[in-house]
Amino acid sequence: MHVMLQPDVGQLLRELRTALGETVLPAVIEPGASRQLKAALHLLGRLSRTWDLPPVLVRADNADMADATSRIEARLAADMVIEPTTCDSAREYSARENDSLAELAPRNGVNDPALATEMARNLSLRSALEALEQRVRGLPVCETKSLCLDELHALFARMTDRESMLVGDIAVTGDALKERPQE
Amino acid sequence: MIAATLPDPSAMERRIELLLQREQELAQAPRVSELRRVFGGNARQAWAFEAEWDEPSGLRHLPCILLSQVPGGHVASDVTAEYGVLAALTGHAIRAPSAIALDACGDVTGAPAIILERFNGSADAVAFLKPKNPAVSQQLTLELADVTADLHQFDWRNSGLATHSDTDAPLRQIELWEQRYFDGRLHPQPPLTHLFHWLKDHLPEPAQLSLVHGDLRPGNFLYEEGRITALLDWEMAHIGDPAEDLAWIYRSLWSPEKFVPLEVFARRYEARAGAPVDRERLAYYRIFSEVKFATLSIIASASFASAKTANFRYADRAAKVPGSLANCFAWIAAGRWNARDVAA
Repeated sequence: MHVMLQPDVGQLLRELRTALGETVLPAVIEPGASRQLKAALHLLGRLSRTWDLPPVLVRADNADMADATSRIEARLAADMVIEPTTCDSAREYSARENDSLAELAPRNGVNDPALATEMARNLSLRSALEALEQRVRGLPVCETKSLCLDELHALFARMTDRESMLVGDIAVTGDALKERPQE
Repeated sequence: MIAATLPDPSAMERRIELLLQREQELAQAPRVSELRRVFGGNARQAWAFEAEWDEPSGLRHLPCILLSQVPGGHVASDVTAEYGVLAALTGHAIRAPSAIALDACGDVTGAPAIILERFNGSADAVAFLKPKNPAVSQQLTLELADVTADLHQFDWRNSGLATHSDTDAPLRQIELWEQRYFDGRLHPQPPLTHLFHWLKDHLPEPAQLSLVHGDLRPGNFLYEEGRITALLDWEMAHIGDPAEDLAWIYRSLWSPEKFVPLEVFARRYEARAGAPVDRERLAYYRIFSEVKFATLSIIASASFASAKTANFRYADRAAKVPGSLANCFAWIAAGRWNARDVAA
């Protein structure tokens, strides 16, 4: 089981970056090639810090998007403003997930079938959210519309926080993995 | 991957001579020499050279640069439009390079290209932002306020740049970037889609419409001995709200804030332009700048992912998107998105 634990991918990427920076970069004289190598080293450094974050953040993103979508659909239905259809389209997409998985995984470089499924679900929820916002914006001015847009705005801010964690801009916090209460 | 293929220099010199002969009415027997590759940014190949030709008034010698499009750039730029802007500015007291020749289709030089007058100086953004002598960068930043004000006072309406729908120019600029986002994205990004809605919902009325550079920042102006010698890279120039340029200059990645705070820059600009800069409009365009930068990052990232470019600097550009969007949401959430809040 040694290889399953040590060295982990983050260690490998970090050491690769260090070795390339110390032993190869100084030997690269041509300015264009040097710029290319520096950009690659920068990417290796970021990946070494963030390579294992997608599973937990994508799952949290999916849960947050699904919950917010359900709440907005429920509000729209309760106020009899609009018929719920967006969730239907998301469910329809989910039904196709297994079919598309085989194609999705190799194309995107995702090897873990469970993560590939979560990513496919993330894509379907994102599409559904864009359609939902479009529908809400098409409503006449009313309190329901305003509340729904506020909820979407707050959701998009939380999604941006998670993406900031995913790229290493900010540290992952437990709060960000849970849905925030409505402000 | 796209591999960069470079033409033979002597053959390239002959092609440039043909282009000068075609484009410069007064040029007799143009001669090109000392052709060499120079760094032209991420999106273009650049060639510096010396040009000479005979005119009725005598021999003319001109240092020139040829900027040639490469595949897989940030945006599909239109060299004809860029050339048109520079031709309109030629002869005016704006620090823009004179337009010399246009190869719109690339039928002479091999790719769509423009030839411009070449100025002395360095465009090194790193040297500007991490200077040995910060006083020089401070002086350059203050001069940039003056140069920007001069550009925005340019009478574009009487220079052949007016179109029938100029009153909608700020909205069209947002719609242009929104379309580029939809065309270039690899997957839906509802937070960014939402921010485009927000921009359209909150679009301020411009106090005036100006010729806006569109990419004015360290790296896109030449400087030498503490003076700005020329503004470069006019491919995003358009008619719009002048606050857009000020906001772009102060994007966090390249902001000269540590040399000259934005408020001081704005006051210097106002004194030169003789017109106030509404701080709320400036704050709005700082949000627009983040959305525009996020869009550029998405396009660059997609270009690498789809093997349209081998430029490694594009490989991880998608990682820049969350930072830009986080700024937007923070400024909007504060509910007081004016200059005091977003200048920090």
